[in-house]
Amino acid sequence: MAAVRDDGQREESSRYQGSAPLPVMSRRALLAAGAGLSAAGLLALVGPHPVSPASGRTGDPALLARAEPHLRGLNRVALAYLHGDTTTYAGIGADERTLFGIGSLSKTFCGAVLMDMVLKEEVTLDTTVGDLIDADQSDLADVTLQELASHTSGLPDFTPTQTRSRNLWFGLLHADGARQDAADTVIDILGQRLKGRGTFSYSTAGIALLAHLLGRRAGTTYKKLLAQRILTPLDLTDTSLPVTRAGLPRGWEKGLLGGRPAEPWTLNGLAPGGGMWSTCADIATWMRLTRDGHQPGAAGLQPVAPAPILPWMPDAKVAITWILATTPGGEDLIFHNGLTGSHSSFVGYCPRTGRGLAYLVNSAPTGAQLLMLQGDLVKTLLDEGA
Amino acid sequence: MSDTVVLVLTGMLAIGVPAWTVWGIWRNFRHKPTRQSALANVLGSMAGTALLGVVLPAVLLGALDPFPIWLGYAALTVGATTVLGWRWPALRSGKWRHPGLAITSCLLLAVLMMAGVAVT
Repeated sequence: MAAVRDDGQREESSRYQGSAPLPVMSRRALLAAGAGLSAAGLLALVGPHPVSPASGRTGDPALLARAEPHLRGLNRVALAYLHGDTTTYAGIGADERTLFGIGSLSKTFCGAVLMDMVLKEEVTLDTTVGDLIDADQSDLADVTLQELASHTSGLPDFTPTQTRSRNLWFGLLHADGARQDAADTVIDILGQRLKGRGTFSYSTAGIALLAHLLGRRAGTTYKKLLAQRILTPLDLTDTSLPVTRAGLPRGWEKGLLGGRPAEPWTLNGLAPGGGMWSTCADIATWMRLTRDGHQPGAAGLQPVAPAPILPWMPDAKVAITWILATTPGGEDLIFHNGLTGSHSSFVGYCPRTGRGLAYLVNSAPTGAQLLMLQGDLVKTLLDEGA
Repeated sequence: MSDTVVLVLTGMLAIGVPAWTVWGIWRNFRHKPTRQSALANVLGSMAGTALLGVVLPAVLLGALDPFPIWLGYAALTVGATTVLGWRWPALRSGKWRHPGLAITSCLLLAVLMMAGVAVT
């Protein structure tokens, strides 16, 4: 009676009659458990994973002890604390020589190239897009380099083409997806309509356009210009701008998206706005050079426009790529952060106290983690000191 | 595909998958659909959950941890599969040339292939 069961009604009645209930129950339980476990196994293969801290602690134990409560839920972290002339490092599963994608921190390097060319009188902050490239048919013809560098040009963060590419490739396939080279990127951006020009509207596209225009003005590519003007003279040997996947630095590793390894955002034509890679040691050097006025970008730290970052930094202002704000304790803070699909970064220092903090992470933080890092960690290290 | 389209599609998926799964659990538990129809329902749930496992991390980037959210979807789908296994002997056997089964099988295969690309 229990051997063939294609009629549920008969099966139910047989069970209640007490005839051979155990084999039926066992078979059903086995089927149910097998089906459930198979589904769980299959889904576990493709779904997101929890993020846990990598093994290994590096650097200064005292700094790590201060920082670690604010690094919960992160996998690999390298951080640097700057105070006076002393730089201290600490890390979880990483050290100051570990490579990370630095995302939008790349923009500060573009700002430095701009200010270097301004100092050398190759361009001015009032030079327009139309002065550097044929842009007669473009809304951007009279947009200045300062507007591009301060996110006040009215350009969107990404163009629709770039957004589509990002969503399809990076979002759906977690794959390398930037197909526009520098020339295509410039053409695409020059075709955009401006909206809200004169007010702060964060634009990766604007920085990419700025970078390519500077490269064009110097008669080279932005990548070469960046190396010639900034990276080589300042001895930032572990900092690079890979434009495509083939250009990624030796020793790079995938970061995490949803707890799983994800392709890095090599952004091709957009790379000047967020595609650079670096180490905590180089980023700490970059921070110190900026703080001490020893890199050209330090000449562009005057506020250009209000840049409220709601709800945390309503009084923030934007300078040439850098953001001017205050710490939770009320100290003036000059900072920039970066976020890709699988890495995040932060550099910030307080001009009055001389304290600075840089961290690089191999995942994108959640909103709560961002508050923890840019709120609690900044308060702990920059307001209270290590 | 604009950010708005992505958000709308993900929102539909985020609501549609549990609705579909809960409806399937209820139907398989309280009624007697054919095995093929019940299996099609579960395969559809698995395809939707796997797809959410790929898109949620990107959509929630910088906002929320996708893992605990997705775990809820996965638990529901595993529950639906377990109910199907439990009810399998009691369900009527229909024709294996079931259109719904073919569609959801292909859908699941496509999603798994895409997810395989995404997570490797």
